Amino acid sequence: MVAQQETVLSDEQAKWLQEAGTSVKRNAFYMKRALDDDNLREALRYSAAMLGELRTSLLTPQRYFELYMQAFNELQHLEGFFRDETKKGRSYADLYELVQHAGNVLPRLYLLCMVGACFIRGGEGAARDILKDLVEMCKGVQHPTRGLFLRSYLCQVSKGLLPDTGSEFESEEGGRIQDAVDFLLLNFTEMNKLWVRMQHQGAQRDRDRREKERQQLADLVGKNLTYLSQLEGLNFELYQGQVHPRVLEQVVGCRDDLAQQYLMQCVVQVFPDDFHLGTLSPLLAALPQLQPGVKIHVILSSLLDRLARYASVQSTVVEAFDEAGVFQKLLEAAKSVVTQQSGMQSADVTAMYIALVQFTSAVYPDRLDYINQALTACHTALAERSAQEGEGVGAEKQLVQLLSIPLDSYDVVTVLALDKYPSVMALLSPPTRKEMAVKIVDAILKTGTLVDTVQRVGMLFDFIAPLATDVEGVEAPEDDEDFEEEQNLMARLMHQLKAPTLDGQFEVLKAARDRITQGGPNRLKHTIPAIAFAALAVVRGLSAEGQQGQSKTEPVLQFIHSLTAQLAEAGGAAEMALQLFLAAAQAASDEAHLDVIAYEFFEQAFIIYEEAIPDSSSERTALASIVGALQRIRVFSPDSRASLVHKATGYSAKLLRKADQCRAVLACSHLLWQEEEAQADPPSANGDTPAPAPEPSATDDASPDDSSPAGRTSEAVQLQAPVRDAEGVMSCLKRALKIAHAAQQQTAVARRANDTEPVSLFVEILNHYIFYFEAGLPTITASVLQNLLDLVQNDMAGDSCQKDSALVAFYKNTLGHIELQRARGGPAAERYKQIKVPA
Amino acid sequence: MVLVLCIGDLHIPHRQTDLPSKFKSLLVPGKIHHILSTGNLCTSEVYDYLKTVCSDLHVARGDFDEPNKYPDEEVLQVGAFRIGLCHGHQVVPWGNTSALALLQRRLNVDILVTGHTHQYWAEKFENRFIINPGSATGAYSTMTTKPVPSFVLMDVDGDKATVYYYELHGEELKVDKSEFSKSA
Amino acid sequence: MKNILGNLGLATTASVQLTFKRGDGQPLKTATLKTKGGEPEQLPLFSSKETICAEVKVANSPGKKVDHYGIKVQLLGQIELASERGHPQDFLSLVRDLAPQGDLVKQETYPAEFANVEMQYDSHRGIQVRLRYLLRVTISRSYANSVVKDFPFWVRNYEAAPAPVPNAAPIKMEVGIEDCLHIEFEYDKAKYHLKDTVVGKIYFLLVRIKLKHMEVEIRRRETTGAGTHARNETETLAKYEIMDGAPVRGESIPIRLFLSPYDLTPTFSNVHNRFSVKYYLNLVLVDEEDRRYFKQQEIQLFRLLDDKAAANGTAEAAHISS
Repeated sequence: MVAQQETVLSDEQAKWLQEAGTSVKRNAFYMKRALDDDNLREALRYSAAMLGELRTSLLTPQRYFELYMQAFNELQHLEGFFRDETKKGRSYADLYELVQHAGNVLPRLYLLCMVGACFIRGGEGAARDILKDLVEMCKGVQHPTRGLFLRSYLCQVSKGLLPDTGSEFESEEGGRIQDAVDFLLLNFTEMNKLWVRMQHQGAQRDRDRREKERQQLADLVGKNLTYLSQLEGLNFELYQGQVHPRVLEQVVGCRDDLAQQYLMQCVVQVFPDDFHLGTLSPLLAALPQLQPGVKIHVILSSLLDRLARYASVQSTVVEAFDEAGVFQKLLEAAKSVVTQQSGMQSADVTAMYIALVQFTSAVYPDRLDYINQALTACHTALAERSAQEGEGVGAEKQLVQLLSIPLDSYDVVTVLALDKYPSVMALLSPPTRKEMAVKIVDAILKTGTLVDTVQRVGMLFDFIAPLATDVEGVEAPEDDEDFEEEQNLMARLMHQLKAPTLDGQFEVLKAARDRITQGGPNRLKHTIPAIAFAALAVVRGLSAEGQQGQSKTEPVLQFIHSLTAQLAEAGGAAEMALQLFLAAAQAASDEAHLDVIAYEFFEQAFIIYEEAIPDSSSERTALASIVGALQRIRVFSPDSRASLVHKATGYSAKLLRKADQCRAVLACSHLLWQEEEAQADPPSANGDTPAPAPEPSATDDASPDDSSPAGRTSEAVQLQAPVRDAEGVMSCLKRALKIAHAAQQQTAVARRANDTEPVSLFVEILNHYIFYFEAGLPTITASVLQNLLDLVQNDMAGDSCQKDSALVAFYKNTLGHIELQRARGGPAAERYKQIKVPA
Repeated sequence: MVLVLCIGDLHIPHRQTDLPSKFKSLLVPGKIHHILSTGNLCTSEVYDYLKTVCSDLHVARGDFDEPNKYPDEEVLQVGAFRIGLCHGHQVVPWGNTSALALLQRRLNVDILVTGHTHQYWAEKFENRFIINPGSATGAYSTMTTKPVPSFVLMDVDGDKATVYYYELHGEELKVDKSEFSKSA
Repeated sequence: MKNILGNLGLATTASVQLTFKRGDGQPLKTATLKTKGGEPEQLPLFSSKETICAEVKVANSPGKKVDHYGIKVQLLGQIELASERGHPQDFLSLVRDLAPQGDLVKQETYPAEFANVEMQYDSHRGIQVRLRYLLRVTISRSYANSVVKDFPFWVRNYEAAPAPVPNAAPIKMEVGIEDCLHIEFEYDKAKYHLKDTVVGKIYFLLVRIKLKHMEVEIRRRETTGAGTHARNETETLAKYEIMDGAPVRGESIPIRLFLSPYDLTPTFSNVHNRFSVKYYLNLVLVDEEDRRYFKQQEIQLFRLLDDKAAANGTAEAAHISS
């Protein structure tokens, strides 16, 4: 409906414009013909008729402008004629009077402006007097659109004719810069009055349209200011003494939103930077006086942009800023705007401070205190407003922007020094606050910033509190994907907490621990592993520094212990806790050489294994990890070790499926046979020398009794020599065979003739025999191996096995391995030669 | 010519904040045909990230991955090669060549891709090939004192595989290459 | 009617020609007047106290003798109201005899002179009254109608510029409609010469109506009769727009009105107790509904002495627009 009306409107407009344009053309034609005939009177008559078309009230400003341009172009002919006219003996003074005989004021004034310009240009008349007369006479047109275009014409034709300093029109009679300034200021004032008045004419319902139309005319008014700024003679004194106060007086006094908005920005844009610096106080003082609808922050931010750019070009400018107390002035101005513009929206208040903070970070990169002051002021303003309105602040977007500036401009660690930052953040709604926290964490991660002191860690957690703890008044977060992502972010953040020294690092981690443990079990699950691993890195660092001993590493390991215990208690993270205990156990062994603690970690891992591992698949993985870790441990005394091996083997035999039991027991066999080179990085800091190979002590019936080292003090111990318990290994292997047999019998009983798994277990066992045979285990002789080989060969001959291609391949690969080993040469090859490999 | 990315043990967020940006810029989407991950992606975010690099993503479960999310072992055919994938914590002793060879025999694969040690390693063993791409983030490891970020890019061309090994030392990227052909 | 018949009679008997000349020997000045038909008319121009010379040529028709009782020339100043057309009242009458009774047998030329004639009133052609000057040549005859022929001329009088009055108060007046419109207008002075410029200002003290435009009219009021018998005729001689659009309170609108383009005369007050011609500036404000608000103010017009030289021709009436 509205669109339809607008179309109709625009059709009519086009028609009216066309009609008026035709008339302009026609009259211009006659005018030109009269000019050709040198008939001045007729030319004037037709030009007045042509200009009479501009008396229309029908056209929108946009269309009117088009018409104006047509007339403007035609007038140039007349002007050209007038320039020559004096050569024919007619004085401009006469012409100046003659055109005033026109009966209608609008055409008369256009002609007057034009002749006036010729008058000045010809040097016949004093610029000052003529300009003064023109700008005064133009008052005759009080219609806003027509008046604006007329005065714009005046502005246009008089450009270059002003008695500016150094201009040819400057003289005692012609006037001085003062007169040029007066002229432009007066024209500006009158134009602004007309422009403002436009708003108050016509029906209320057309308000929006009118505003749009007015917007289109803004530049006509602003042109005066532009010309003012272009005056050669406009020095700072003149600007400060006259131009600035008079322009501001008009702008403030007009009490019009649109005009104030546009003109203030115009002032900021057109006049030079140093002028602004010199008139900063009055300029800022004007801001609070502007209409409530004016977006002061927009003005302020253009001003600040300029000042910032100014400062960036010249190094001395910042000094000048300091001398002038620029920051304090700006801050006071912002405060004053907030106080006096009680209706100002929080979003705009914030936008204003955004501008201020942007300025500050650009101009005063070192003055964090300034940013803090700005944040304080912003916080005060918003807190008051939200208190009054009894609602949220409602400037989320702006606040986020405000809070993001320091993040973009500074190292996050630097930002942490802004103690007002968290309170400004607290103004955000909980979801946004959290987003902001995410942003901060992101910034840290992206830039790789390190948070290196306990104090900073504390601040950081204040900043990102919404991520670290539940937010008051908001439901506890669900453990969903979003939450998980956030907490993963937190976990990643933990690796950015890094002090330069290991002692410091430990302190930092403790500080972080103190904060994250307040976050509830759901968060712990995600964050504890990260801290624990960071702590493990500390242990490694201490070890590298040769501080394996108790005094340094033990507190860290205890720290990890208590964290992991907390994690285990939190529930739902049993596997993770178990893995952490195992990792810690390895660190306690490999790095710290603290057997008691390593033992304790294993104990804890076993407790979790027994109590908390939810299903058989997890059990299998957990046990594999336990066995894998224990296999590598070299810190334990034979007794301690035996006790743990016993447990592990025991658990293996208790797995649900026979196949799992069998494989686990096979794995356990390695607990009794440590390779020399299995220790990839043997710590050598304390110069451990391989101890003599211990007597085989771990037996099937070894029990974890008094050999447990729990009661001993933890001191760094020397690593033990690799365990080489051939009997133990054999015992495991035999146990595996037993399980495989049992499995075979089970399938027979269950008449699952096609189940080849037991056979594949045998093949696997065979491979372990081969492993140990090659490792030189004395208990596995060629004949032992041959026996097993024959056994498997026999089993493999079965139909179902032959159909199982994977099994066949496995077996074939096994035999192939033997062949290859045999062909390779060396001692193992010699021993293999005793083996008869089935064809 | 098929590009296979072997990558794993990222341990984000438990042990590292992120994949090195140098690696990220190398791993542009659309270049790689398969990803074989040795596991320990730890979070679905990392999984999703790898998916963006290449949608044909195979992951073996690491000891820090959620239970039952990924299989313990996987075998694929790429070109002329049977490739096995297993994180390796299940293979005791960890990182032991003989033990891995045993697994390789069982899986009947030409190439075994395995991880866990956080130490790049590639070895030809009895006409078969074992590759450990190390940890892509250089994450803390109980087994390797000073892990550096690394991954492997395998260019499979019929029965020839060229293995490019990328390792990051500080800001310096090192690339190494070895070749492996399947014997008839 | 009598004149026409006389002329017809004369045409067969005698012709009369008259040539104006100035007493000071300077070339004759003329005034160009607009007539109703639109054709400009040129008349000899004199001022009071000037000496008017005339050369009268009287000729008989070839071969015919004209006998007469005498030939004279009269200088007449007449006021003629439209209501009493044909019966002008002479306010001035001077006579010079040119020839005694006799026969006119050939063409004769007679000089005549009216020295220092007091012609206090300006010539005037109004709507309901005119004031004219003429030289009338009469050939008196006994048996037939006399031959009478009129030769009009134009009189303009000039005033010296009034001595400037230092603190002369301008015309200033506040007028208005209560709670609706209050304006104060100001014209720089009350008395203008015919080529003068009216300069003024309108201050808007209160505007509650939506004005469209404002103009200044120059109006002329011709009054004949007196008291209850007085009759007025008013003409609008000029409409001069001075404002376009609606002003708001506090605005002031400049007025600068050049009088020269308009066909104005001096103000005539109570001319010979018969008529007056007065001029007014009428300020007219028109609102958006075309209602008109106006205020009329009399101004005095006079013909400036300095204009005398230029007055040889009519003022250039450059009506630029309608």
